Parts: sequence; C-alpha cells; structure tokens
Amino acid sequence: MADNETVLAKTNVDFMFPPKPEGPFEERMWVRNVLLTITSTNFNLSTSTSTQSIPLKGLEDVDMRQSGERSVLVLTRYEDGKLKPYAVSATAKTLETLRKFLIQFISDAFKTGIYFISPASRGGVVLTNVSWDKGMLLATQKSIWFMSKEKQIRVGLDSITNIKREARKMGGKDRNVLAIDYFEKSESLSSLVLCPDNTMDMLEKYLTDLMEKYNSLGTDQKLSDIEGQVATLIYSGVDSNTIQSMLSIDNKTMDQYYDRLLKLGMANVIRVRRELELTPRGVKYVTDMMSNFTTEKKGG
Amino acid sequence: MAKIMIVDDAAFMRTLLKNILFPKGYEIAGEADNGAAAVEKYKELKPDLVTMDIVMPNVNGIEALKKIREMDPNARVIMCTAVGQENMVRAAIMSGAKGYIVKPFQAPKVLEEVQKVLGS
Repeated sequence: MADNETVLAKTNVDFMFPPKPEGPFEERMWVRNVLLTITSTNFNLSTSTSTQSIPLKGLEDVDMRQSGERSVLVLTRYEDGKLKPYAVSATAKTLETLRKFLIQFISDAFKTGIYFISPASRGGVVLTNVSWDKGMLLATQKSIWFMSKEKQIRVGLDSITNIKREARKMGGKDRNVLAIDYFEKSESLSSLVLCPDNTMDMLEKYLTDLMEKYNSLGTDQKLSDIEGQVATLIYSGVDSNTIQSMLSIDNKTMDQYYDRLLKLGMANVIRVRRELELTPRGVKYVTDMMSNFTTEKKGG
Repeated sequence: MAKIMIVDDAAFMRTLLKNILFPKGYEIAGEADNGAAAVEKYKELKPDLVTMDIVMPNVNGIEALKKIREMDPNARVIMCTAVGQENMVRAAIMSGAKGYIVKPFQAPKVLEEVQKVLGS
C-alpha cells in the first residue's frame, strides 16, 4: 500500500484463498488476525511479515456465507480471465458493514434503473404485504443485485431457476414485469422487476444468457414422469419414507431415482444417503415441469 | 383442528397436499377433482378452508371460488396454480380468495399460509 493512500476502512479479519467461492472453508487454511485496510483503489491484507494489495477494480461479487460457526465474506474478482475468490472471516456485524461498503466497488457489467419487489413470493406463497421499491438492478458475472436506498439484495446466478416475462394489471394498465425465480438456503423465492419494455428485452436476454451457463441441461437429461414426481416431492420437503409410501416404490427403485437426480446435478445429499435436497437445477426442472403441465391442461 | 378440503384435478397434487397437512393435525374433510364437484362438496362438508387449483377442466377454480363465496361469503379459500399463471392472482383475490400459493410449493410455506388464512 502506498503511504499516501487514504484508508477508508480498516478491521482485523481472518483470511484465506478458498479453492472455490462456495467453499469449503477449512479451518487449517485460515490466516488469523490479518489487518484488512481498504483504500479508494485497493483492499490490503497485512500480517506482521507481509502486505498483499488487491485492486478493487474488477470486483465482481461480495457474498456473505456461513461455514459452521464462522461468518464468511467471499470477495470475487475477475483476474486473468477467471473469477478468483478471496474469503475473510470476522463477526457477522463487521462483515455486513464491509459488505455494504464494498458493494459500491462492484464492476457494473449491466446496470439499469428499475422498480422491484424482492422477494415477491416465498416457497410458492405470494407475499401480499410488499410494495415496489425504486432502485437499480446491477448484474455481474456472478450475481445480480437489487439495490435501493434501504435494500441491497444479492441473488447468485447459480441460484436462479427461472426468468420469465409476465403480464400484470397495474394501475388499470397492462404492464409486463420480469419475474426472477431463485433458490436460496433451501427456500424458493421470486422477485419482480418493472422497467420500460426495451430495457426489459435487454435485461431478459442478458440474464437468460448468463443463467444458462450455470443451469444448462442436455436434451437427453429429461426425467421420467415418476422421477419428476420424486423431484417434486423432495422440493416440497416430503421425507424419503413418505415418498416411497406415496408412490408405492421399494428401497431399490427409490435408490435408482435418487442416483439419477444426483447424477444430473439436480439434488444434493443432505443426510447420509437417504435424504436429498434439490439444487437450483433440480428446482428449475420441477418448476418448468409444473408450468408445462398447467399449459397443457389449459390447452386441453 | 381445522377441516380442510383439497381441490385439484391431479391426484398426485391432492396426495401431496394431504401429506403436508394431515401430519400437522389438520383434518382432511374431503377432496374434489374439479370445480363443480368442489362446490357440491363444500355445501356438504362445510370445511374451514379450501385449497383450490385454478386450472381445472369444466368449472375452473376461479368460477368455483365465486360460487362458493356466493353460498358462504366467509369461505376461506387458498388458490393454487403453477408458475407463469400469476396473472390470475388478481382475478382470484378480486373474487375473494384469502391466499395464494404457486406450484411447486414447499411444505413449511404452505403450512404458514394455511395458518395465516385460518387465523384471519
């Protein structure tokens, strides 16, 4: 750090280079009690023997995570054509302050003024006590942000399950809104964006292209009807024994269905072998399946 | 405990809702697979709450909701439909629906909505 740089913020943190932004954050990899200072151009990490300066330019994402008892803030920069994560750990309050401070430095690959409701539905239940916020949508290669004076809501691109345009009646007029569905902390959420139609065209295309990088499925990766039902039941939170009983299937068949969901990256094991949770890819599949089913019903 | 009637033309979805509600102590008063049957069964069973699919053959969920509300202006009905059909929310709410859930749904949120509407 140059001597003439003004320090905008400083705090003590633990630090590591995680192998991936989502972790794992192994205890042995933390460098403890590092001095973090932020200037207008860099964040600097100093130990008693060295200082490393990392430019704020190229910052793509700041994401709060929990790893066991630890609160972790993952900073992701675009470096040499790749996304590189840096992880710092401190108290949740300190990290939240840091997160709010660092958001202003995120590179704005796409930024536009919008009205938004985030979230507009939770777990399939439409929230009624919500209203439109005036603010910005900022999209990077890792995440999108809904930002207003009071709110800074991050949605990771890897958690988005669907983006679609919907017609809504607003103030007596027919308006299009963009619905962004995502899956976070085992919960399915949906946010709504309102902006001029030409901006919405660009936004929809931009987000759909980015999302496809994360959630693309081949045409040969379609589930059978019964596998789709198993995925729907997992999504709804039904346990394995109840699924077997509802669908009248034995242990061996159930294992085959689970293996297929795991192989396609649609589910993760959450408890030794027998209980699964859908990944955003699995949630997208189930959501599309329900939507197509309703369209077929209407058509028929 | 409250008596709930489940209306959906897909047997799978009715079974799923039963499996979410019954273990939490709700009594499943009955079920119907179309809007017309729902109206008839409502008269007979007088449930405390109805979960009603919107897109169904013959009489759809919104029409059934209107008929039920004509019979019983205090009827508590939660509408269910798939993602992409949310534009029906307004029609359902205008017709007197007390709540709304979008398929696919997650059990804890369904239970929350049921409790909220029963408490209203």
